[in-house]
Amino acid sequence: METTQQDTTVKEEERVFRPMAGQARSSKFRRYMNIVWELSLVDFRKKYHNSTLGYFWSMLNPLFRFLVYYFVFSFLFVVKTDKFTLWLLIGVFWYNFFQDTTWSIIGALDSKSRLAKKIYFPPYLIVIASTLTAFLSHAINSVMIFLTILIFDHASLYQLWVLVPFTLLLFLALGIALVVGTLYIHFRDISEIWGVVLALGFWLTPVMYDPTNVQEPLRTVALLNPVGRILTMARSFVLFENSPPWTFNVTTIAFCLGIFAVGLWLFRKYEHRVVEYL
Amino acid sequence: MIRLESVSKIFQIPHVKTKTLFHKLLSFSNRGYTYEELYAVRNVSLEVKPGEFLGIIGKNGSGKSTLLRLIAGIYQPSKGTVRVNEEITPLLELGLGFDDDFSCKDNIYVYGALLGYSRKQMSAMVEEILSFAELEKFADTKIENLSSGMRMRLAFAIAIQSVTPVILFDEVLAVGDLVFKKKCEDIITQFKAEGKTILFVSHTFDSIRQYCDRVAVMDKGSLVGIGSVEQMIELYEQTILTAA
Repeated sequence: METTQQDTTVKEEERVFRPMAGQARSSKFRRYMNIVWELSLVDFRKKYHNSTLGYFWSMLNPLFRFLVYYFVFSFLFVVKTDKFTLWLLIGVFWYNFFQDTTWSIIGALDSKSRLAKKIYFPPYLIVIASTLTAFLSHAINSVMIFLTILIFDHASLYQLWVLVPFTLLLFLALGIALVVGTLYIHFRDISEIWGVVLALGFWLTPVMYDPTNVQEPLRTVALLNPVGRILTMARSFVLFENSPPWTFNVTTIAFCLGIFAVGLWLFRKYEHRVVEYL
Repeated sequence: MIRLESVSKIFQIPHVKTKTLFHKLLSFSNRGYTYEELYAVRNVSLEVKPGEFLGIIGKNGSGKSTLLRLIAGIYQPSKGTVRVNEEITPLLELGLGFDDDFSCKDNIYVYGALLGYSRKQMSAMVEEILSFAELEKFADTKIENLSSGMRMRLAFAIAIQSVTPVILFDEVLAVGDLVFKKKCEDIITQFKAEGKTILFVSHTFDSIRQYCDRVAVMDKGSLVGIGSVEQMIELYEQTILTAA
């Protein structure tokens, strides 16, 4: 593209500086990665920009909630679970990530659909980016929790297995976010309904109770709940150095990846409507 | 190469807005979901050769912007096929759909990624983009605090950094003062010299005459004529503008 300099009617010194003109463009995959990264970085910064404590709110918020539950369940309703403090800490922070991810997709679709009306990019990148934003804080928080466990409880190589449920939670949250996103494209009042579902889901998930210690039918629901199953795996690996039965692990993995696959398929099927409906 | 074969875009305009689940449930019971079909673009066939500068004229609501969106891949055609085998940078209407809550700089980075640049490459260009847009002092200002002219300048400054062989312009010269207009004209001339394919929607016949090789006239979603600049401007002025 630089060959036509002489016969340009614009004089050389008046040409606008365009350093990348004529350079090869990166591959599609690299470009999509870039879009996701930039969208989530900017979102991350915006989220905590106007507050004094900034990023720390993403840690303080679930931490304060943890303290409330800790108080309630240590003094009002006593729960007899081994290592209850650390056990509860994992539950509250991980459910918080699930909630953040599936909730923030609604706002993300609203604000990014304007962008999608002006330039083409596959809308599922919006969902991935908003999930990544939540995941950034979640990853930092999780490192903090595990450091706490290593220091105050015990440390061993076996605990590395926790990376399995950690990854599973990411896929599960992304999968559900894709489903919620698809619903939101078609029905605006999902934003109200999903809030209720999450509040109910919090109690149906064994965040504060041991699923084997509660009565039917809550026990079955809690044991089937994929977030709960992930929590069970994480707690066993990192606190008790034992694994749930392998059938339990395998079905959980299949369950989470299945939800992810369905979510991705569903969203990709309807994603062109983001531009027209929102 | 851009080729459109009998492309139509139909929008459903519901008689009652059933955007919520509650409404949807209600409307199932009395089969209340009725809508009218609006042909935003009707049966358009069009071929744009590489390196061509095609002007598109027509009244407001005649389907020009929808046509550009179909070509850019933002809309899927309801009927027909759109074939584009080159990459496109669309510069549509005011402001590129910036996120109002982000600063100019953040928006530049996001848009840069959408145009295919890495963060490193963008860092080298940010200053240049801001100075072209004459917004150096506003780098960290939120977009919502900019005037519409400033937004358009920023949008234009970003879009011209793109290296795609096809560029779509939708009434970009409509805003901006004389100084900025001059800059825009320079860059459009530069694009033309680089051999880019350009689709150019405008209401200003002067710029159409100045740049375009061919002109397409649209009316009520249909393509009513395509041909030499003077003929088409005459067609537009005499048949369509006077008919109204």
